[in-house]
Amino acid sequence: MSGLIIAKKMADTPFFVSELQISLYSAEELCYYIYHYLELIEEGFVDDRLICFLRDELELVSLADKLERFYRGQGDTFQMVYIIAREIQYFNDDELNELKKRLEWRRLAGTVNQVMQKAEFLVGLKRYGDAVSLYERILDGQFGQISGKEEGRAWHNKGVALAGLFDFEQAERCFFHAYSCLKGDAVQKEAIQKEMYFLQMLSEGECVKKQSDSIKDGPEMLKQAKLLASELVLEEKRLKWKEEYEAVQEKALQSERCRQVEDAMQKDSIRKTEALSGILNQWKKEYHDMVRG
Amino acid sequence: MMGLMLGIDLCDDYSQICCINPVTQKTEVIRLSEQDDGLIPTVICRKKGENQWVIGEEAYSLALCGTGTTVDKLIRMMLYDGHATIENIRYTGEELTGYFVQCLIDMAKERYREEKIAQLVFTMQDKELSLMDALVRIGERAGVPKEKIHMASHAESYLFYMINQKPDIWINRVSLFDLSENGLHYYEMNVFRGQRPQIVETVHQKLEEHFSLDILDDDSGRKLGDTILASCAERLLDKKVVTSVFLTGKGFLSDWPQKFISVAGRRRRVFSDINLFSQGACFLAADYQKEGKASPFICLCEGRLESRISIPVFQSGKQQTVIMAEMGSNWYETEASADFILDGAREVEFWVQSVREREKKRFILPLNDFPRRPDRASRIRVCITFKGTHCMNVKVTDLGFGELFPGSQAVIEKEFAV
Repeated sequence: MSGLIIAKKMADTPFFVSELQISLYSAEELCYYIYHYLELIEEGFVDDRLICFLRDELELVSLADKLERFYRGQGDTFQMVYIIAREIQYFNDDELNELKKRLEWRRLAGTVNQVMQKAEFLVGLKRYGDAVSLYERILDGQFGQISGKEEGRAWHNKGVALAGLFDFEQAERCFFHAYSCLKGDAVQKEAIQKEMYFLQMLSEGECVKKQSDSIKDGPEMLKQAKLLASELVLEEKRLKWKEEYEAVQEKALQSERCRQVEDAMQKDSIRKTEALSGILNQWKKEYHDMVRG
Repeated sequence: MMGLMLGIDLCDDYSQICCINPVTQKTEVIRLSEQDDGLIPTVICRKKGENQWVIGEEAYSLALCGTGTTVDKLIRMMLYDGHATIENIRYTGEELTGYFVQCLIDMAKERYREEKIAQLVFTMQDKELSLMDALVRIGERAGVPKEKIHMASHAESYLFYMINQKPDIWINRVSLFDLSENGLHYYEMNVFRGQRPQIVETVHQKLEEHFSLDILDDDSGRKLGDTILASCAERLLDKKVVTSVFLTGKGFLSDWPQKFISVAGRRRRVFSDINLFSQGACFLAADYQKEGKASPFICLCEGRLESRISIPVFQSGKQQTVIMAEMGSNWYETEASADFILDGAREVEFWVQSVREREKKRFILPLNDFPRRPDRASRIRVCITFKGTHCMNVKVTDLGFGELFPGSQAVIEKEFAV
């Protein structure tokens, strides 16, 4: 195998993917998106806009015609996605088979599970704003009824997303809801307790207390959450969690991002300004992506 | 009308211009006067007090009358960045050659009452890079689009002249003697039959037996010249199956070398065509005009690639190759670019298949300086150009993978001897 593939045409006008807020310029990029961001693909992904992009920009006329026939005949989205992946010939056989299975799973999973998977994927991508919005709609029942276990998972993940947005109080409330939804699952309950403990460490207790007074519907709940994560936990366990928390903090200080800042601070005044400005711009972009939703 | 197809033979002493007649589709030499042989002295003259340029014999006449200033050796002047000052104005060699070429083109335009140039081929003894770059600029200034301007060595022009003659003339080897002030040159064209497409090769050698054309002014000099040429013919044509011998250049304007002609003509036909190179360039112009149609020949000679350059790729489960340069291509005009996706590769491999060797050579260009990304998430652009028949320049650019992985635009450049 030579290790090179002939690249297909690049589009002059790209295909914008709102879920990722990026533009795709080639058939290969579209395939990469399908494979690596499959969880973001929902019913309606294949539409006139995508078919036009394939036909006019990428000059994949026969593929566009095939999709159009499926689309007009109310064809299944996931089947059409598979046709795209197969016809562009970007994947090897193993990848194509795997993709086929994943698409089949999504097709059979039903709307609620598809949306749950998408929301979890958004949390993984650190697109917390989008994830929170989606979890709110899931918990409101907009996509249909969910089981108690799924509700617990939704509250928990919403809490993770809110913690990512530095809204520790709201996150704690979500964890409390998640804890309440779990019935008898001691391991999971303990895991949530630990997360609440970590959140309290992050929000430095006092600060939470002050802010909690202003929360209309939550002081009592927060009190209970605090109890769950502290007083009701054995001293021995809390000490272990504290050690874990400190280890995580230490690890974070050694991370590439911290090193980047330290390196920037070592530079001369002109280069330091440049480097810090670059880091700040990167953080701004990341923050913008995180809070969007 | 589709435009004129012109061939210009540019030499330091004489130049010629030839055009495909738009009606008959045959080559026609454009002459300054009906009586001349199409050889136009490469001199230019600026009329005194006027911004008007004349060329050829008229330029000499004006200089003799004292009504103009003449400059000659234009090609050499251009090649060595020389200049000339006329009426307190300093002209570069390129500017003066430009005026000269413009006069030639104007002659063709006037003759056929056609302003558009479809193809323009300059032919010259040797393809010097700086000379060719200057001629492209000159052509563009004369209003010819860059992609319509081409360069050919005399060997290439000879080859295209021959393959446009009746096949019985070049059924075996065909020889050409070119005698001018620039030297005595020998060209031999051979057809390798039995291959598809057929390979036609022209080999050129500058002969050491060169003599000044001034010796031909008297009988003893002509006799000496004849003896020299006859001995060259004996040496070069002996024991070879040569169908025809062609003669060109100012030195063969008349049939003075009788002894040489009798040696050259032993069981062969001898032809003389003083405008052979400009006509060959004209045939080449017509060939460029047929772009897209597969040529029945692969033409190998000075200025043309002897190897096919390709890149192996893996596509639709099979190994395939992308041909970047085909054997027989004009190296000066060969410029190929293709985009690839890296599928686990950290290098680009080139296959070089020479016409003379069965085994292909392999060249590897490592891409270690490019950022590492997941498989099939890097797009690279490979561009190849040539600095000579055997010198390939490769440039690889990292284009990234759209907005998913923005390109670093890092470039790796390397030259390979092919």
